[in-house]
Amino acid sequence: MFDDQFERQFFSYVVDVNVAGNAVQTPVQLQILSDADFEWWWSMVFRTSGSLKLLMKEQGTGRDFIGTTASGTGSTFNGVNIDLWAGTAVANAAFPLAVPYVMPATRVYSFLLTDSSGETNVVEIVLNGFKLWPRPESTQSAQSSMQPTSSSGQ
Amino acid sequence: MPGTSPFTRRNVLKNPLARMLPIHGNQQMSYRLGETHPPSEGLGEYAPTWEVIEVGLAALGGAQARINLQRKFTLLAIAGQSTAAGFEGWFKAQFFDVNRQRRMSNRGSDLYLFGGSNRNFGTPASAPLGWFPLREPYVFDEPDSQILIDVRNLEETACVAQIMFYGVALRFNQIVGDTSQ
Repeated sequence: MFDDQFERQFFSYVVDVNVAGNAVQTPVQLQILSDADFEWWWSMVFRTSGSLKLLMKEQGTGRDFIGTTASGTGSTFNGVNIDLWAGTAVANAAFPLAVPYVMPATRVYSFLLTDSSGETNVVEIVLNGFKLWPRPESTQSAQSSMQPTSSSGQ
Repeated sequence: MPGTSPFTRRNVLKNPLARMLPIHGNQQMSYRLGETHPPSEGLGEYAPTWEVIEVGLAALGGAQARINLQRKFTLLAIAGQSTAAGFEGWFKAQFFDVNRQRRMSNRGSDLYLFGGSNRNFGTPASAPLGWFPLREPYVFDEPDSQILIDVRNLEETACVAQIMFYGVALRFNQIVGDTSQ
């Protein structure tokens, strides 16, 4: 059992966006709240049409989470088909990252959405995980001070 | 980052019914990977990466594509989709680990086996897809690793096929604590 001195609180970041029909790389941004880092474990998506592509970028580091180095269509790469990335929990399609990713407080993440359905696509992206609350010093010191006492009493 | 398993940490309440959550068994197994291979075991500096190929396929045609992988790409899941409106967007694909000269199957497998139900993403409001999580991660730890993908369209109509490789990777300029990496 390891202890990284964080209390974990279940938390979801929700991004709602209406993507216009045939819109290319419609940007929407998510900023992690400034009170705590966020440990990203699951992705969930609802959309009214699966004819939708997604790119995700991390501001600050410039990291592209979704990329390609090969494309045979000869057209601009607009991202991964949304249904390959995540779906709804009801349809057993919530995507587990398996190896979680820590999103620092205040950092901004950009989602670029490309529709090919021709109609307005109502999209909700949910990142599930945990807020990482640093354990108060007083709690840590209290726990450490209690341990010698209890051991000496035995 | 040391430790990420929410179930094994002090001062975190455990719900004994948590294992009865109605999520798919494969997802549960995949989620367990995070426990058995937590970032504290060496993946702490890694970031999720979705490597995608998109190829236009002629009727009954084929194509090959290569993916240049980021450092230490660790493959965790595969999914695929096509726009073909025929028999469930049927296409086959074979994968190769170029640097190790390894095949990942003895012959092409139908991608709908990897894609779960309802592969045709051209259908509006179709049910979300599944994907195939690897029971154990596959690590491409050779320098400048590549995946070679050979895709064959089994439909008599042209289509655009997309295959997604989900994993974690180090950036080329990432400095990790373990100098052996």
